[in-house]
Amino acid sequence: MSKIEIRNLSMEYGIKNTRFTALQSVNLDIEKGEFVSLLGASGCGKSTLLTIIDGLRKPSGGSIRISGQEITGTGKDRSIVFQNYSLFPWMTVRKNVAFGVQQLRPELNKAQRLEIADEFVEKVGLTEFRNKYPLQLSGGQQQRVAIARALATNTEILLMDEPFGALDTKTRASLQDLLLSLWRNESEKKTVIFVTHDVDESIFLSDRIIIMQPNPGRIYKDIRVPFARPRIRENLTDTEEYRNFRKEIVLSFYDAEQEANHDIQKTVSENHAPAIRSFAADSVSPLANGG
Amino acid sequence: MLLIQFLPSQTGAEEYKPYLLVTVFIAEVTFLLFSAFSKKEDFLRDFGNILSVIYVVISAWTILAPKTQILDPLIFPAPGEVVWYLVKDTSKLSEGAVSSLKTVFTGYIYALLLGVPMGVILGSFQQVRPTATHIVNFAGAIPPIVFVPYSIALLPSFDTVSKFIIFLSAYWPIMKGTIAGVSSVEKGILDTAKSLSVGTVSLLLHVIIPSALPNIFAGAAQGLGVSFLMLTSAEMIGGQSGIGYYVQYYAKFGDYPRVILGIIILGIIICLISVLSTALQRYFLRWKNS
Repeated sequence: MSKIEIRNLSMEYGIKNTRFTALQSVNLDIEKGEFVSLLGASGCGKSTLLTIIDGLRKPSGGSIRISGQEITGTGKDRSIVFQNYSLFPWMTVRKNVAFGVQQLRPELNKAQRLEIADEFVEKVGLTEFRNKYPLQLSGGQQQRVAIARALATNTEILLMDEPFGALDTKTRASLQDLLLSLWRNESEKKTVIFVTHDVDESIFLSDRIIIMQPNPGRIYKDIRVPFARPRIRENLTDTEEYRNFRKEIVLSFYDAEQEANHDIQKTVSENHAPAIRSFAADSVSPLANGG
Repeated sequence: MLLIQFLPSQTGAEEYKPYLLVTVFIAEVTFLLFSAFSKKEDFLRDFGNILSVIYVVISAWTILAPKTQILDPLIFPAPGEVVWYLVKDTSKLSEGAVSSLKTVFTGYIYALLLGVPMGVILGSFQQVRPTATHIVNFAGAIPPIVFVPYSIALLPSFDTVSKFIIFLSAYWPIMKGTIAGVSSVEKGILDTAKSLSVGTVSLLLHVIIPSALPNIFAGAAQGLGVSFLMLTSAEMIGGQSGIGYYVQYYAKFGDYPRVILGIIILGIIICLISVLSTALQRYFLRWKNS
């Protein structure tokens, strides 16, 4: 039995004429302690899938089982980090983390909550900012707090919806390193589902990359990342294996979209496909060069 | 500053001259004390500038009215005379101020106690929100003063009428602000709370109300402004106490120094209240201004 079992999941918005299929027959198994990325262009339903797994939205069809139990809504076994608005701006850094702990681990008393909050704030390197408010912090620091809260709540599953999408390249790289080191050092590794549209990010972080395609949103490919951990960014991105693997992912990424648009714009995609493909495979993002 | 030093010597009404001199002296000493102990340069600069403007107004007044009598000195008395009445009427004025504040805060606090919870309730339920908004827009648009005759018929004393009118004038802006705040909580914030399985009570106290607080404060500040407007109007229409009554009462006898004094005191009180409300707002919304 896998930790997360997604069966024949579908999601439709609107009624009759305006009906839009965000997700269509999604089947996916995720093992305990696995780090999985959902990779795809915008509109492929990856964020929708994540929010359904969290229980924030109800699917139109299909089911999700976690540890064998079908989910009916949000739960104490899952926490989520968004790109924005993850924190409550009227609570200090410490209070934000402690509040999350209070909600998901009600068995702890106030002193224990604060102790845990301080511990995780320290782990993300923000001890000196713990009495600041989120709006007094940079975007990167805010996401550190969000990660600290998600980890402090000690949920078995961590869901991340493009958490580093709004950050600059350097901050993004340092937060990826931080996330990996925190994840690896947990005594019991959390199951992570990480939504991104950044190929390098997905390779660097995950054990498995699920490439999704739009119109309607569905899974295109499920690829295992062959690189051993711990991964050192500079060493990893410099290898021939990395470059080849990256090429494979990038091509799948673009093929997924091409194929999805095929019916709609047959001629356009055929004329431009080779150009896009060669551009995509050659372009190397700053991250691949070591951030 | 030189101008200020020799200005009082021009005062026409000689008997009141010392009072103005003493006032200017106190103002100067206060200013010097502040400059000696306060390091806030912005504040000192503003203080100095405001003081200068006051001096200029007093100088112009002194020259135009008591000195040259270009303006009728009966209606424009010497500034020193106004100060003299301040000393003479201190107890009457403070009684009036206390009575005014009591009236305004009774009405206002009821408006807060009712307006915020009602706003939270109406703003939380999507089904009733549009209706509530229309009703608030309609009721809030009616100038509260128009209810005075009806309230007089309805309520036992004019004091209750004043309080009721103030309640009405503060209630609608407060409720409107609260509804706006409660209904505009960021979806991401709500999703985060939902994902953390935050319970209903906790959601209200720790998420929705704090998030709506900026709007609630905006409505409360607006309500406070209208409250004072209505307070003064009510006192002048039919009140038996308060600063507005003081002004209205002495105007009947043509006692203009006291009328001017009343106006100035009222201005100072409203200013102080608004400073206080801004300070409260800054404290409670300290997470917002970074």
